[in-house]
Amino acid sequence: MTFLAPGLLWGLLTLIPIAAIFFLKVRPRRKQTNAFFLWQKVFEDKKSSALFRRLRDLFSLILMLLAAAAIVFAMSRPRIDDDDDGRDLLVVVDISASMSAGPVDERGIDLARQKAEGIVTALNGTRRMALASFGDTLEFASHLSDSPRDLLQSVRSLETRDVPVSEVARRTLNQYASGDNGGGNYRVILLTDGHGGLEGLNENIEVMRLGDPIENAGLVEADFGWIPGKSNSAGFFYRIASSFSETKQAELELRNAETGGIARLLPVTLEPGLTEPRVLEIGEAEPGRWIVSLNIADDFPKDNEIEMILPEQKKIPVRVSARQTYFFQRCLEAFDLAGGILTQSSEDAELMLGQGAPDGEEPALVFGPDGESPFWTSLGDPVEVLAARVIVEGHPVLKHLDLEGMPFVGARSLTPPEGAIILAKSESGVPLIYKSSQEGRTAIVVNLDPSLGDFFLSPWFPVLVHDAARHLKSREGDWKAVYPTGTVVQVPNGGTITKPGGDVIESGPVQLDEPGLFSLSLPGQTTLFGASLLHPGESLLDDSGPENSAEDVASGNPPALWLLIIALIIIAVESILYHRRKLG
Amino acid sequence: MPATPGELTNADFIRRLESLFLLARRVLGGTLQADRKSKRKGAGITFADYAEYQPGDDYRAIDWRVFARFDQLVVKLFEVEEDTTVYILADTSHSMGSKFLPAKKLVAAMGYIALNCLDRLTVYGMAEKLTAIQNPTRGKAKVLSFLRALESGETQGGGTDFTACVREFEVRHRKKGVVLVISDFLFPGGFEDGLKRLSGLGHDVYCLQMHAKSDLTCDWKGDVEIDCVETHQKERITVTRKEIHKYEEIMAAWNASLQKECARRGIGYASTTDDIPFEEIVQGILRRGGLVA
Repeated sequence: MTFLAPGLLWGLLTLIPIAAIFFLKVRPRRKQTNAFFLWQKVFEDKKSSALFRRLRDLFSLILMLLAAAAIVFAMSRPRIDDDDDGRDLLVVVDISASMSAGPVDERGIDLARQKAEGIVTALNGTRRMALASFGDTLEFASHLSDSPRDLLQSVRSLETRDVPVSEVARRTLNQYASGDNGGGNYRVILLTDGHGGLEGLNENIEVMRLGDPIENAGLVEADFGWIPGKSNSAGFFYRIASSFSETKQAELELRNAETGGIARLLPVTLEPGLTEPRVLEIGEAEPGRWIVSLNIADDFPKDNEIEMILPEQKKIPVRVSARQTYFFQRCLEAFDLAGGILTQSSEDAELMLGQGAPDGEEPALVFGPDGESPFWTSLGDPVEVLAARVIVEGHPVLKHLDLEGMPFVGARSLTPPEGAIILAKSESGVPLIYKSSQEGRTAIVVNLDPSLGDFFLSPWFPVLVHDAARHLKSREGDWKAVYPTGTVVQVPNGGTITKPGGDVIESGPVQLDEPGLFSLSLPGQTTLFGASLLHPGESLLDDSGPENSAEDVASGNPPALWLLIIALIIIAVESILYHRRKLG
Repeated sequence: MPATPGELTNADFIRRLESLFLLARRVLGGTLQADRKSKRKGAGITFADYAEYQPGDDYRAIDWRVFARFDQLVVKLFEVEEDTTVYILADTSHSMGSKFLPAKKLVAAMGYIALNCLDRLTVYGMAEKLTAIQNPTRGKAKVLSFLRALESGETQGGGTDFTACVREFEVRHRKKGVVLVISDFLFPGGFEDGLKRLSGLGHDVYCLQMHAKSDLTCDWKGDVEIDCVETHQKERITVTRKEIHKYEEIMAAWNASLQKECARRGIGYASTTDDIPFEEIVQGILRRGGLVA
């Protein structure tokens, strides 16, 4: 034990006058009596307690000396020697979803708060501490401070978020731990349950694992969609993680949230660890909100239920207009039969697929431009294309294509209309694929003759048709049934995303940071999609994860406080004895 | 506690004593020499009773009117009017310190009445031994000297030996009389033997027990060192409600045993405390017709 103010130990000399004063104090008051011989009968009854009375006086003296000594020791600020080097602290509290697992008041976040409060309480004015939360980002709740009140306030404000630890947060924390951020000499202590996204932590980070493994089972992967090639049949893909130490039985319930009807209720056997992924086929599925529940009693219910959306099965009717319609029609039939989004229809067509100059008024995907059309201003002779070059990287029409493997046979020199977006050009600058809007109609022109170079037999033909059709009908942004929380999506132009809690995001990236249904509003249409905690690392609450590597750190009330409490108790006891001496 | 000079001899105090005497005379009914009532029958002027005539009786005492009416000889009996000696044994030990002045005022009142009734008065102080405060005397003219002697009296001795004092009294005074003992009766050696002796001497004995209020109860709390006012013995004790209760029980039992002893021996008894004015005490005694056990 060391003392931060050893000079104050001279205060122990006060024990001497205290003892002297005590002896003066305990001298009883003298009372004269006319009936001493009557009192002697009382004395006889008290003989048995006379020894106790004498000891009591001695005990009182000892108590007073102990109280005074405790106060002096407290003032000298003792500190128990340990491996704590007294450097400033950056205490990082894991607020990822798994920190909310566990019994009430024993959740990871509760334990982390208690530990952090203990560290704050032990600061004792000798060191400073900063506090940060660690989840999808690393956020400072309090910068370096030695104010226990501010720090405790910050600790108590920490709450878990339904997101996993992100790579960005981990990288940022590593920077702080390695000193790359230009910080000073401090210790980084991570208070965590040890689960989810903690791989690759910097070795300077002291991991302080809290709590015991929690027996939990939860859905960690899920998707819900129509099964291609099967009419009105939807497939539910799922995977479950279990941290139970033994095999458990549970029930998986899939129900339509709008009708309340249970579509599937099946027993599942949960082996410890990750189960094999499974797909459930739901016949005659209704589009809309669906809820899947894993019925099992555990201490982390958040990963036991998923809310998701089965989108409407809406196809794009396509009209074929070409000299040779055979391959175009076979292509559309293939999509239709396979449950794709394209279907052939000449009456209520929303899209034209063809060759030559496009007719009609629908958006059009045109191969082999020929004749006159507002979608090109001049059309010249065929040119040889040695190499195609992407002009707009990542464009939805091009993103699945390999232009180097595409035979642009039959391409002609042409001039696109003003305002056309050139997506790909030849090495000589001939536009090969471009998008243009003319007179209220949009078309994608593909400058090649599909009947040449076996392009109809090329795998890029259906890919190009599919992606171009989706792009022209603005269907390339179809949303998944459910996303893992923490996923970042982009708000489409002109649209807004409303979070389950009611917050409306009008532009930019949106993090799906809470489970529930998100709503995407676009002019004329509203799309729903779900978000849920789908992270194996947040559900497998076993002994995995980084080992406990934290060095000793002073925690809890300082010895001085305990000494003062002891002194107060002693004084209270002595006051009772004093009261008895004075008042009987 | 000695009385301050003039406290028992000032005009006001003597006026108060005179008032008490007047009350006493009215109650006792006498006006002349030795006019204290006696239960004995004999020659006197105050009719007491009739008795059948026996040969040898004084024929002058025959009531002829009764004979005329009932044809029966009866003689009239009169209360004996005799010269009575009043002995006052006042406790002057240190235990009376706190109530010495009221006790002296009480002695003064009783002595004043005795002197004014033309009785013979003797006053002793009692401690380890008897100390004469007023040697035998009589007559109203001796009142002032008696009061002065009483006024100068002080507490004395290392304790009260009641039995020894009674023995000494027995030796000094053979003549029977009225013995008035004024004390707190807190005698470590007990009071039974002394009372037995006094009553055995044929005196009319009366006990007037005077306590300080603080003797009867205890208002101490906590650690105290109890000091005996007479022997200066000391003892430390922690006084709680239990000890207070115990002491008060013992004190009550002691007083009850005194009262019982007096009743057993036909000794008049009264008890008072130092906060009651002496006039009230005397008036009370007189109105009750004397000290009764």
